[in-house]
Amino acid sequence: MKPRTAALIFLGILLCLTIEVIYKIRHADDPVPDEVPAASEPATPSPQAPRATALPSITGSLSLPNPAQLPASPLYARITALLEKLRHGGASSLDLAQLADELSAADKRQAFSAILDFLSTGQDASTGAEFTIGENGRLAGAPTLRVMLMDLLGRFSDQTGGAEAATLARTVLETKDSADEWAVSLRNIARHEPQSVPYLAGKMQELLSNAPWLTKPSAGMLEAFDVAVFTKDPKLIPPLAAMIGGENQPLRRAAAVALDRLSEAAPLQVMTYLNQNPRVMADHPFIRADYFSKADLADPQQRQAVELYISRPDVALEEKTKLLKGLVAPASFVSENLLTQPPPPVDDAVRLATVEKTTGEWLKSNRFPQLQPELIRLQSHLGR
Amino acid sequence: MKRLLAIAALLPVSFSVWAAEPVIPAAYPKPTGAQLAQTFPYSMIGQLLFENGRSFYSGSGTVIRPKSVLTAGHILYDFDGGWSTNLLFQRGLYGKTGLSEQYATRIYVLGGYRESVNRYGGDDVRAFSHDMGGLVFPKPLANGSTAGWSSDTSLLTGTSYNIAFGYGAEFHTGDDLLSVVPTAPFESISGAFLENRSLYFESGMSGGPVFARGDKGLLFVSGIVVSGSTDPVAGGIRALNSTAAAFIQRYLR
Repeated sequence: MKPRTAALIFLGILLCLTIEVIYKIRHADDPVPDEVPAASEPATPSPQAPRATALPSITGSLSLPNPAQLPASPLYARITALLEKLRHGGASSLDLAQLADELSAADKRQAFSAILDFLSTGQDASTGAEFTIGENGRLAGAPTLRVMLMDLLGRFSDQTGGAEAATLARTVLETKDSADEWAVSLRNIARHEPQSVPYLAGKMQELLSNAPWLTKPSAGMLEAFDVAVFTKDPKLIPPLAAMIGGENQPLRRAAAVALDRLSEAAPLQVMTYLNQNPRVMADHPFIRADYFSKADLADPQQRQAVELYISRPDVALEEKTKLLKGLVAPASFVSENLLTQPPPPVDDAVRLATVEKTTGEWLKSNRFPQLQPELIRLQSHLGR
Repeated sequence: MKRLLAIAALLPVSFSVWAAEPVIPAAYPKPTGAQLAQTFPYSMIGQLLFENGRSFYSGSGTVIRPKSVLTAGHILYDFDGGWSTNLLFQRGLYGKTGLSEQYATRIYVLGGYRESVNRYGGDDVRAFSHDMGGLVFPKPLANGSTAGWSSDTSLLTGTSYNIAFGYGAEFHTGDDLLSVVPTAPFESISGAFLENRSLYFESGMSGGPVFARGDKGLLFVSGIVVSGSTDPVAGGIRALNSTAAAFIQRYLR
C-alpha cells in the first residue's frame, strides 16, 4: 500500500470514529427507542411556523446527524410531548415549569442534546405566557416553547461554561424570524462572550432598524433594548433618540429608558457623543439635560463634558437649568433587565458635597453668567 | 375614562365627571381637618410639589422609611419632560401649615423597558401595575418615624378596613389632606393594579397612600393611589406586593 493511500484510509477511519464518539457522548444514556420522535411528523398544524435552526456542533467542527433520524431521548420525548400539549391547548404553566425542572435536574450534556435536537426541528408552540424578565436576566415568562428552551440553554451554559447557547444564538441571529428569540440570543452571547460587544452592537443596530419588528414590537424586543446599555456603545444613541421622537409608545418608552440607563452606565461616552453631535436629542431638551445630570462632577473629564454642555450657545437656558436641577436629584429606573443589573443603592452625601462645591465654584467665578440665578437658588437649596 | 392623577394642579377641571351616574354609590374625597392630618400615622403623608418640563405640579406621598417617601411613578417621570425636578415634600401639610419640608436628592422609578403607562396607554388597566416610585432625602423626614406598610394584598381585596388619602386639587385647593373610604373591597384587575368602583380619587391625590387595617388594629400602607376613572366612577391603586416590598427595602432608606 502506498503511503498516501494509507493516510487517506487512516483519516477516513478517524473521521468515522470521531462522529461515533460525538454521537455516543450526546446520547450516552438514551434508552433503546421504541417510537419515532413526534418532532418528525407534526400531528396538527403548529400555531408557530416551523423554522429549522442549524444545529450547533458541540465540537464546533462537525455537524451532528439529523435529529429526526435519531432515537428519542427521554428528555427530547418530554419536550415533544409538551409541544403537542401546547398545540392542543392542554398545557398549563405547571407543565412548563415541570419540564424546566426536569431539564435543570438532568445531566447537562443530555439536556443540551435534547434542547438542541428539538430546536433544530424548527417546531414551536405558543405558551400563552408573556415575555417577562426575572432575576439576573432569566426569563420568568416565555411566550413560546423555543424561547423557553433557549433561555434554559443559556442558563445551563452559564453553569457549565459551555458554548452551546452562544453558538446556537449566532445561528438564530443570522435571520430575523423572531424578536423574542433575538432577545434571548443576544443575552446568551453577551453572557458567554463578553468580548463580543462590537458584534452585539451591530446586531442591536439591525434590531433597531428592522421595520416589521418596529411596527409592532414584541415584549422581547423591548427588553432587548437592554443590550444597548450592556454594550455602552454611543453609536446606538441616534436610533434610540429617533424612537423617543416617534409615535410608537412602546418603542418610545423602551428607548427613553435605554438611553437613560445608557447615560447612567457610560456617562462620559454619552455626554461626549451628545456634545459632538448637537442635533441629536435637540428636539427633546429636557430629556437631553437628564443625561448630563448623571455626571459625576468629581471626575475631571465628566465635569469638563458638563461645562462644555452648559457653555454651548445652541443649548437653551431652560435646558441648562434642568441639568442643574437634575444634578441635585439624579434619577434611575429600577427593574430586572435582560443583561444589566439594576442600579446599586447609593449614598448621596459625597455626591451632594461635590455638586455643592462645583456649583459654588461656577457661581463664584461667574463662568456661566446666565446661570447665576439658578446657581444661587441651587446653593440655597443644598444648604437647607 | 381612566387618567393619571398626579398633576391636576394646573390642569383645567373637568366638571363633566359629576354628570356621570355611578352604578355603585361612590364615596368622594373629603378634607380630613388639620388635626387628623397632623396625627400619626396620617402625619406621614405629605404634598409633593415638583416641576416637569415647563410646568409646576402637585401630587402626594408617604414617609415609608426614615429618609424616603413612596409615591406614584408617573409623578417622577414623563416622556416629554423627562425626570421631575425640585421635588419638595411637605409633610403633614394642611392649609398653609405643615410639619416639615425637604427637597428630594434621589429619585427611583420602579419600571423597566416595557412597563408603565406608555406601553399600554393611559386607559389600559395594565398601565398602572408598575406605577411606583420612591424619593430619598438627605435627612430624616419625621425624626425617624415612618408609616407602617404591608405587602399583604389581601388587606385590600378582603374585608379589612381601607382608607385612601391625598392632596386632591381637582375640586379642592390641593393644600388640604383629603380622605375617602371605599364601601366595597378593591378588585384585582391586572398584576398589582387594583380598582374600586365605590370611590373616586381627585387629581393631585396620586401617590397618596391607601391604608389598610391589619390584625392588631394597626394601619399599614398597602397601596398607592395611581388613577381615577370618571365613567364609571372608580379609583385605581398600585398594591404593595412582593416586588414593591423588595423595591422599598433595597432602595429606600
